[in-house]
Amino acid sequence: MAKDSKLKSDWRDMLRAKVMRNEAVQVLRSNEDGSLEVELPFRKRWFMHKPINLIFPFRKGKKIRLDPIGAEVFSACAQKRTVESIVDWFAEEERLSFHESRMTVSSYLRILMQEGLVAMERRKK
Amino acid sequence: MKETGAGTVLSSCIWQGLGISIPPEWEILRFRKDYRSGFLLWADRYGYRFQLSWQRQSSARNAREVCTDFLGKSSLAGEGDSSRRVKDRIWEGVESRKEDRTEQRFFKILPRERCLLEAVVVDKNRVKAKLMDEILDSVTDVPPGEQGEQAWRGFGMDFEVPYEFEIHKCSVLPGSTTIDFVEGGEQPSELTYCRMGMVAHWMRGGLENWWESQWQKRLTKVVHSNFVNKDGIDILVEERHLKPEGAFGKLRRTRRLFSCLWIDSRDGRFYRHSFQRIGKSLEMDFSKVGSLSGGSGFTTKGIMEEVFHGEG
Repeated sequence: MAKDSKLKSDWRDMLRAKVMRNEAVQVLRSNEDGSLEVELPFRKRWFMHKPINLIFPFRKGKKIRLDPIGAEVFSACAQKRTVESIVDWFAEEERLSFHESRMTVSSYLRILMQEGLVAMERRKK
Repeated sequence: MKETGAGTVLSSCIWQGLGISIPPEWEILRFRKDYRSGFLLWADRYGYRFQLSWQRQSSARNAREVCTDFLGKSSLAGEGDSSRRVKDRIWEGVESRKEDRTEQRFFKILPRERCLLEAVVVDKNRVKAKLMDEILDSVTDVPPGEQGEQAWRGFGMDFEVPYEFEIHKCSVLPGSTTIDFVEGGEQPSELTYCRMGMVAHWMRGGLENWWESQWQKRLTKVVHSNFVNKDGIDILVEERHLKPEGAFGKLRRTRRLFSCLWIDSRDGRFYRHSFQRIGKSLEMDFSKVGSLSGGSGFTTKGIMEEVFHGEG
């Protein structure tokens, strides 16, 4: 018989968490295929000012290209909203079941968080 | 779909010869595909709710004995204090506390192949008792049909598989499910049932062009390809020969692949029902290729036979 004792049986907390965009992120271009190019500005360090930056032109930020699904999820984070509402919206948009949408959205949110494009606020019980 | 006394509409699922009715919003999140011993685990939107496990050719004499064994093991593991016996009409059960939830396990033995069933209610307080009774009552043995066909229903597909075929691979990803069945013997055959979502993101240039782009031109030859309209749906019915690859490819035999592909108008998903076998010149028995039906209820039953009749 299946061993299920170690399963996390509930993911309500994750669904209640609120997602918000990093306001510093700038949208550079939205492409025809639905993909998006965004830039996340770097924090200016002491050596990145004049006159050093005249000799070494430092990059202003990190450019990231989001594929069409990543762009959809990123756009959905424009207002501060819960993961559950994003999952519901994505399921309706893509005609997916709830868990298909949940798995897709959560894996994209993980990538967006790793890149610093969005942040998640977890609610206390 | 079946309406229960509690007013809940349940949808049926058939997997490895076992049938069960489950609320339609519950989805299978974990499974084991084996015939002899396996399980299915369902979840609603907030958590796991129900698991059905099976073990065929079980040595257990009766469900009561299994319950006693389970209680004995729990007691040895130090969980005995919180466990107690419960009884459903036809199931023997045990209830125990697990951290912050109350878990119920029910056991039953189906006479055919001495199949021991274990139904686990992951958190008793999150499922209504009446609904749980309906679910437990709905668990049935689904033997093969008169022609030996096996019925399967799950992951949004409803399909029939000839008796000789066994499940080989089952890949379930978000928005993409592919289930392969194989038949052993001298000319191994393969049946594939596939359902994929988010079509607009990956299918470019229409169904026919996309399908063609999946194959290497030098290794494949289209023998027959046309659209058949059935129940208002355009189905691409195709036969293609696949040449073997590799250094010794020329010594190996060509495979014939028969496929029915379509995009369902109701759920917008892509469906594929394929049958593959070795050898170009062998006679085909299209009555043994099973069938697949998708979201709108349309079925591929008889389509291959109709289109390729006389060409085998």
